[in-house]
Amino acid sequence: MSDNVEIRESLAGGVDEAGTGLQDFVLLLQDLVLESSDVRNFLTEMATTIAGQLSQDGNRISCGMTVIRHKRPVAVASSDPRAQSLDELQNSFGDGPCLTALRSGTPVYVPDTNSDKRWPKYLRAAGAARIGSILAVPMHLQNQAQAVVNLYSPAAHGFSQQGIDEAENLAGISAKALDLALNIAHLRDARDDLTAALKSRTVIDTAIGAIMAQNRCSRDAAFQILVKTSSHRNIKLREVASAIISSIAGEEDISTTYEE
Amino acid sequence: MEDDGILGIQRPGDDADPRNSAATRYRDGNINLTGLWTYYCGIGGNADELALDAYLHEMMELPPLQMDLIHTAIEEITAEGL
Repeated sequence: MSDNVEIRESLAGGVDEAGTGLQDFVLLLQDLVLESSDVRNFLTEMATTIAGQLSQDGNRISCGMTVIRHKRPVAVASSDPRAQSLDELQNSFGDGPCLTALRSGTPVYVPDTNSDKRWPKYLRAAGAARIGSILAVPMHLQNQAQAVVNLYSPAAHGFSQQGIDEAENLAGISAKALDLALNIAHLRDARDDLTAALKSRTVIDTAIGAIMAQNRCSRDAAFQILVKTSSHRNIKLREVASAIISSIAGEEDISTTYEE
Repeated sequence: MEDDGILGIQRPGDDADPRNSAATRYRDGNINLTGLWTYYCGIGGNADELALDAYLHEMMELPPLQMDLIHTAIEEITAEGL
């Protein structure tokens, strides 16, 4: 909630021109949420958009996104290959400005990769890749996910105070869009899982009925037979069930009609 | 260090409590609860998600058939590498 207020305050305090730019950015993100087929695709478009917003003549910014997946940082999307390889490099070291920003929840700025002493190995590699300055802005998400926006400039001191403020603004707005995209993806996955479960359960229940009739046994006993067969032969329960059905009826495909 | 077998005697075998191994595999496999419940329901399971959660945290017993189905679900999901 406090993020919200901050963004509005800085919007109100900002110049009109910046305000219009931000409005376009918000509209663009809404389109992305609606159009993107999956979260990775969405993040790639978002990284490209953020990089475009922050780049100026002679200072082309690269943008990468790192998220925590299975307790490990993964570079999931980027505006270009340069950001991608720098993100991956940092994740392989296990430490660096972006990961620090991710863990602490506060932005980290490396004004000059040549003189900064904080992450010597990584910053030397970044310098060799002709990166002068790095800005990492964490996203505050409501989802149980963590993400950080990694910004790379070819110039040392490539981000002015105004640039840093703008990057934080963009990250704040992007976080809401990402929350939405994640929610949609989550619901879509849950829907797909349920559809699969419904289909699978129909097959299994039918097979259970068949076993009950053949063996004159209870439902539980029929299930035990199915489970034992599956684990002894190392075949999936559902496949055993459908083999039983087709052995009786010769029917290959049983499906549940499910209106989506 | 010499193994005097005391540890082996005092510690119950991993398979002694079926809840134990299910819980361990569930945690190690990075399996998401709702996903597991959906899969388990799809192979005929009847316990609800809350009961499954409690079972996996070793706080509740379930009928033997339901435990078998949960194990089957965990095994099949792990084998699929989801």
